[in-house]
Amino acid sequence: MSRVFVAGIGSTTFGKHDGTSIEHLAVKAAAFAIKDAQVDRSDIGALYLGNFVSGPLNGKEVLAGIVADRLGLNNIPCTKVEGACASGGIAFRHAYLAVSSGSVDAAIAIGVETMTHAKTPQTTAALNCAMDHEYDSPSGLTFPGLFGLAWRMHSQRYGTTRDEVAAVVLKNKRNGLRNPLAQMGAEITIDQICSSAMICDPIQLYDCCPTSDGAAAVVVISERLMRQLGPFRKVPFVEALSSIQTRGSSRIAGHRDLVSFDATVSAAAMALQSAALSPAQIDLVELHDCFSIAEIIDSEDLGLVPRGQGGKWVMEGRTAVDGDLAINPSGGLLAKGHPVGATGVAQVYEVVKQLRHEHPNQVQNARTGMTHNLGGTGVACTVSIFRGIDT
Amino acid sequence: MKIYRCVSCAEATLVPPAICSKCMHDEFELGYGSTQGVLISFTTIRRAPAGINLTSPYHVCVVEMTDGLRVTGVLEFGDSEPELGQSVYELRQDGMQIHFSSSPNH
Repeated sequence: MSRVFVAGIGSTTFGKHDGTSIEHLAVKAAAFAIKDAQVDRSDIGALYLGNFVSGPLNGKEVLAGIVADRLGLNNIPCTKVEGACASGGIAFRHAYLAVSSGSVDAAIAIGVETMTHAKTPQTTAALNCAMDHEYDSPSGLTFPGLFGLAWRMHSQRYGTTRDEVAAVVLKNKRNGLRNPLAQMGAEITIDQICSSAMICDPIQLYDCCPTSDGAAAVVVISERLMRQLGPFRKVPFVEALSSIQTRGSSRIAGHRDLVSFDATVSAAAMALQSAALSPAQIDLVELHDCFSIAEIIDSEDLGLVPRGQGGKWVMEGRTAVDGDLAINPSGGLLAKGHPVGATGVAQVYEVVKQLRHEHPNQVQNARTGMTHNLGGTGVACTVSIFRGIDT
Repeated sequence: MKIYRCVSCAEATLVPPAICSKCMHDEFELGYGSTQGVLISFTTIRRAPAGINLTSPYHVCVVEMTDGLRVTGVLEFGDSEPELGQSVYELRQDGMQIHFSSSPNH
């Protein structure tokens, strides 16, 4: 198994990209990443593209090959991967595996989505494709509904309060203000959150991430290529220590416990073990806060925060950019935005910026970072761990 | 509610499966599960997804039936807002849509 290094990263802004095609966004992000990596296009031996709803919302498929064509890449295998909101994380993991297995010296992972052109019912229907239609859809459940169920249980079991969950929104919106790529950074008040429209009790409008357009890309390379490129580089490499993918129940009622996602718990445990790190050694995490309560649940599932303490940690500022464990210094899905297929790759982009110490919302002395991407009703999950290195 | 029970290992499912996910056997017998369960959690959907035969707002719940089967269903409130952990009662089954009431006197 070869060690794997992130050589280059690229991203568009997240938000509305009216009139820009999905191919165009993907190509822009990929071109940034290839230039940043300072690799030759002919070095790239595989392309993985994470995308969820380009079929229903854009009427476009085989995006991986189309994007490779526009990028002028060689005759290489180009694969679109889909795992609902975890599509990007899965694309990254495939690129990681292609390099770690020794089959290629460089691979590119791209994540892309365009959603804002569609009307809300159309978007909801497209996203609801990730429900288990035999078991869960007949009850009229939606994704915010799933997290409403989880929130109510978390509150009952651990005493998590509305103010604690609102503190996640306040923190991530504030972090988003310091991220030029973010769609919805803002300085807001608890009153604004608590008076916003009720969506799926107790989830209100500000507890939900927006729909977004955007793309991100990452070039990963082998140790051999890293040694070759090293002397010519100004920016440091970041090592990908592990990248794990797991599966949870496809049915909501199939989850052992609604305040925890088994796929996250197992992915984090395996990723930490593979990286030979303990949770306390993680300096920052970009995790899947599709809803405010999800950040609290994820932080506990990842083993980074004690079970039931997620709300208290955010309230006490321990998950702020200058806290014990920075959670979502990018603004997360809540403030940076959530172009669903792009998110998992964008999380890698954010962590690599942090570990290069060039992030506009920098976590001081960040050495190790984690990404966590969750898809569907917790049916697909990826966790990856990174470490900054000097060449 | 109608359930399908694997004739080999007795695993119960709501939807007629292609194979039993526990033992891979492919014969099932139709039976009836318990009509009472415990409310695990619920939420209120304020905006219904397209194509659903429900008028918002409506309540969705996860229930653990007395026989151990966990199901997602539609919850109809009794006189007051239900509490997690309380008993709920099957009202009716429309295909795969199961309706529960939080009141024993439904």
